[in-house]
Amino acid sequence: MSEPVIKTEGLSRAFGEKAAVDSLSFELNAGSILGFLGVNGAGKTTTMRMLMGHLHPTGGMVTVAGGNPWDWTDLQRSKVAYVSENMNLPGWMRPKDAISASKSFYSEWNSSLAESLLDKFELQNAGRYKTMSKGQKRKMCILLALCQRAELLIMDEPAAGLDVTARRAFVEQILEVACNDNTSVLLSSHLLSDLERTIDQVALIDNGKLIMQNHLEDLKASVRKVHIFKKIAKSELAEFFSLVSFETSGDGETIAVVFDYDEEKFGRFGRQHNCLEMAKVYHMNLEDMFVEITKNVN
Amino acid sequence: MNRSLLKIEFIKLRLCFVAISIVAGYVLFCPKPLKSLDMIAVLLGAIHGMLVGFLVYKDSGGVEAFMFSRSFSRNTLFWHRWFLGFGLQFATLLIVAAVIAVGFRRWIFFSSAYQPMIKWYELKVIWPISFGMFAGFATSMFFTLSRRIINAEKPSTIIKRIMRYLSYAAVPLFLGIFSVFSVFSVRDFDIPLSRMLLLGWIYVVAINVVSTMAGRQCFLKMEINS
Repeated sequence: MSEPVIKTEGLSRAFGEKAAVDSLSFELNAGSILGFLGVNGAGKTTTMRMLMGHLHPTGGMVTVAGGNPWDWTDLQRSKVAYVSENMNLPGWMRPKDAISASKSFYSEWNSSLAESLLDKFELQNAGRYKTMSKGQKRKMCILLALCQRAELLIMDEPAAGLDVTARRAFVEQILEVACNDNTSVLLSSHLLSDLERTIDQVALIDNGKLIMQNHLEDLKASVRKVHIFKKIAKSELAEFFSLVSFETSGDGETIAVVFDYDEEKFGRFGRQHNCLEMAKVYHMNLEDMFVEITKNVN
Repeated sequence: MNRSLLKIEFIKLRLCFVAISIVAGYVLFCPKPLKSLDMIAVLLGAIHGMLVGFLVYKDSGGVEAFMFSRSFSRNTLFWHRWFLGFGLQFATLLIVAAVIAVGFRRWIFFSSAYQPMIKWYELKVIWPISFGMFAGFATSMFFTLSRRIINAEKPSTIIKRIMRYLSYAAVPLFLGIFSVFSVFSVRDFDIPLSRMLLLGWIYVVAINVVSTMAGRQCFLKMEINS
């Protein structure tokens, strides 16, 4: 099995007394697209900045593209593409200038993709970077990152400020790049519907700690919302399932989100508590899961 | 050297052309003969050098996040910027030399009593300009880079901030003051000019070596706001 493209062990970063990232350990394997989720202030951007060698960790270790980002050589650095919310191109640059400069920076530069994305993102006549709209600026940064033919794409809120059409084109392009070039992607976004169509793994962090990392399909197969029209004690349900959330209403209903749903197991639970006919089980999308899990953690 | 990278870095130095014009203007219009010990030339050179050092290494916000995410290691980026800073100073010296050697200055002061000796004798003004320029560049480079580290670290109290700032700045500051003092001492204490100029240049070289090494360390370690 090949080495992971990203590997962190006990990665930590504190700002004064506050720990922004706290003993974070996770891996990203080659060719995977990992959605990096968390509420505002969870530590996503701080983690990504450490992965890029823009921020010193206060503890733990990080290996990206085969080395410590702070000691990257030119070659290692060229293997990683990065888009962040705070990134800006020099104001005088027109799209053509940025592309021509990038061509000289990267030996693997994908010129045909650059031309096609210029059209798709409607940047042909966009003018200088400083006069572009927020969305156009974001598109320009995404274009440069995608055409770099990097081994790893690290993208922090890349779709923020993009219109629906551009977001769709962006999602398609991410999938295409990941499939064709075997590029690994670490993607953080609050637009979970976009993420759900793109990612194959999900990592959730909260207060700088990793809550879970799992394959999206496994997660979707195992997390269910269970609505039972009968009052059930939390301990009774917890005997069978790991609970993400649990609530009972005054009129004798139980609503719970369970982590490790299994049809056969639920059948046994229903028969034991005589509630099989009174229960409805719902699939959950990524956004609903995210809300339930983070609500429960907090 | 990557030419596209140099071009991107060069464009942010536009303000330096004002400083180049001031230095060239002084050389062109100074009514007195220009000498190898011209304190105004030292000062203008130092201002020019400091401006170049600041503009080359200053924190340009989101653009720094962009530059530090391209295909260049920090080391490569540092030396490209250093090369550009030094290149710009040599270009300024060339312009100054051209103003004198081509004869513009002689033409302006055609009626001056000094006119016959203007051309070659006055080329010596390049020494004090370059003296100030290189000392200014090195010191300013280090100040700018160490300040970026201090700003990123956000020390909790103002006293800690000042202490850290001083500790970073101590070496180039000491060498800088000492080198300027050496020039003054030639004038005030009547020490042989050639010996003091040599000593002054040793200091300038020392400032440049120390500041470049220390500045590079800062550059390799500083955090980027991305």
